[in-house]
Amino acid sequence: MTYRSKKPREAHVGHGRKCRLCVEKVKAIDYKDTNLLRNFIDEQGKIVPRKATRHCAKHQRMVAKAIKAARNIALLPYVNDYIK
Amino acid sequence: MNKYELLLIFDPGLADSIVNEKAEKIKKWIEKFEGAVTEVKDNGIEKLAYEIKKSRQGHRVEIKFELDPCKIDTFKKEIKLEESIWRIFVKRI
Repeated sequence: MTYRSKKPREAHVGHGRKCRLCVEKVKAIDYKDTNLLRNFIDEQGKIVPRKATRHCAKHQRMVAKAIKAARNIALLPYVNDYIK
Repeated sequence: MNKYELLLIFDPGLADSIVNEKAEKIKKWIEKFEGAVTEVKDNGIEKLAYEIKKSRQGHRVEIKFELDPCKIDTFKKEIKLEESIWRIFVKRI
């Protein structure tokens, strides 16, 4: 009988560090606050995933909704200009 | 009655007086639907993050109001018929 070695488990999301927005006790995110939201999009204009930002699910959902609303009214880009 | 926030992007080629007139018109619509306007803020011509109708600028106006939730859809439809308004965004506060 062959014995398969187990793959090492992936690090748990948020392991070892708390959600930054939880620490600051943020209750709502304003979609017009582009200075804050720009921290959560990458240089292409994509929403940074939870693995990288270490947000909790609740805050990541808030951030994603705010970014999508800001894109709708041309406060944030869908795709950054230098890529087009 | 729910509280809403309405954000509009107007054509930047329009004069300020015309934009004010249109904002007044929207106010009247809200009153027609038995709502109440609480705040109107004119942000003036601002930069846009991407081109809309080959323009990089837009005239942003913010209106806060109260309206019956069952009337909000018909209200949105009426605003969309206006050609000089490029974008409409309604959010419940």
